[in-house]
Amino acid sequence: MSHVDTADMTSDAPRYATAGDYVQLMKPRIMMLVVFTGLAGLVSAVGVTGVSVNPLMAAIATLAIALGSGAAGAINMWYDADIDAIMKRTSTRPIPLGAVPREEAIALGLVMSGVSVLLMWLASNAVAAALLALSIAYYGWFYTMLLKRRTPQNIVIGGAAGAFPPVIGWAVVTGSAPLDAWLLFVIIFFWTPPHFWALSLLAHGEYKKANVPMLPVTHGAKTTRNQILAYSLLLAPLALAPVLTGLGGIIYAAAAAVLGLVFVKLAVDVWRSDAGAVPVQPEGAKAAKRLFAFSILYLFLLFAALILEHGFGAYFAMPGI
Amino acid sequence: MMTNTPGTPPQLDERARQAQKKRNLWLALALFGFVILVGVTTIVRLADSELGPDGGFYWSNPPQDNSKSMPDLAADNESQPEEGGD
Repeated sequence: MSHVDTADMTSDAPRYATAGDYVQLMKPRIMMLVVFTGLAGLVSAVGVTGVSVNPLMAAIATLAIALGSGAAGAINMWYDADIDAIMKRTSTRPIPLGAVPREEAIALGLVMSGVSVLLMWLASNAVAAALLALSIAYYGWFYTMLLKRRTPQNIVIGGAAGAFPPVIGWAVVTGSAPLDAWLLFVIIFFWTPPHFWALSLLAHGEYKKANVPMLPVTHGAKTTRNQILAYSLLLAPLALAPVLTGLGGIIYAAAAAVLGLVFVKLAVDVWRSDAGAVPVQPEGAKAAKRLFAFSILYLFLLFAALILEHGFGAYFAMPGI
Repeated sequence: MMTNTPGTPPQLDERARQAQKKRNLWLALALFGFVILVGVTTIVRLADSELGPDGGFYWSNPPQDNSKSMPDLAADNESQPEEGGD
């Protein structure tokens, strides 16, 4: 896939960049989820290990996670400006609109990468800073530049980038990344494919137009629906793993069990539907939309349960564990 | 729109100038915020720290092994003979 010149994407009318355009470059919605899961890792580490952390330093470390996420988003938008202009969903991003030049996006991404890693190091420790740098490189370079346009497994392997924040949050407190932190990583890792493929079932025509080898484009809708169900069936029990190590208490266990059942039910609905079919079938599209929307709520509530247990003293250990 | 003739700096119209001014303001605020954050971080880290075992630099993570106890600097100063005394 070759890059096309973004100069012809702009309309004739000049559009001057606002602060909001630069915020959009940082993918604020993804940033919110990243910050939330990072915070959950941080709070859980404090609750599990009993290590105290200066609240101001914790806040600055969380800000560093947000900046790191924004930096990776800006690098992604810089590299993907050509395909963003082709796809309807992404054509209103600041670079395809002509509001922000590509050079400014990459400059913002690189400067913010440095700033976020430096801030993280100052506020916490070298391990957290190294993990943050790794996650930025993983998303900005490995996923965006190497995987996305090459393999239909792009979001499976690339999903690891979004799974780092709880590990980073944990490392902020302890300076290490033990098993509990990696369990949170695994949950997000297995959550990403069904979340993203539900969206790509709705927009596979767009990905095809942009020549991005998303699974529905390369292997068809049926294979994608099968994969969504397979990953959902793996995710539901995996989300209960923190209960076995004592990271999750009764509230978390109940949340993971109920949310997991709903997730699998919605994935079965998608599997049984004709989501991703051409021409678009309203029922199938509805099922995919429902799964996509619920997947966001799922991750939010699961990590909220951890914050509730470890940050608000609501942790009650599961009997027998 | 920006107009430009060779050898002269770019001329911006009013809207472009306003947009540039706003961007510069945000950039200045971001830089100021970064400086403040680094300053605050440094102050907090130093406030949490202790003197090193040799009484020299500050440690933000003091060594756990206290086999070599911290020197009493005040006592050392008192016990040292004054140079050039009678």
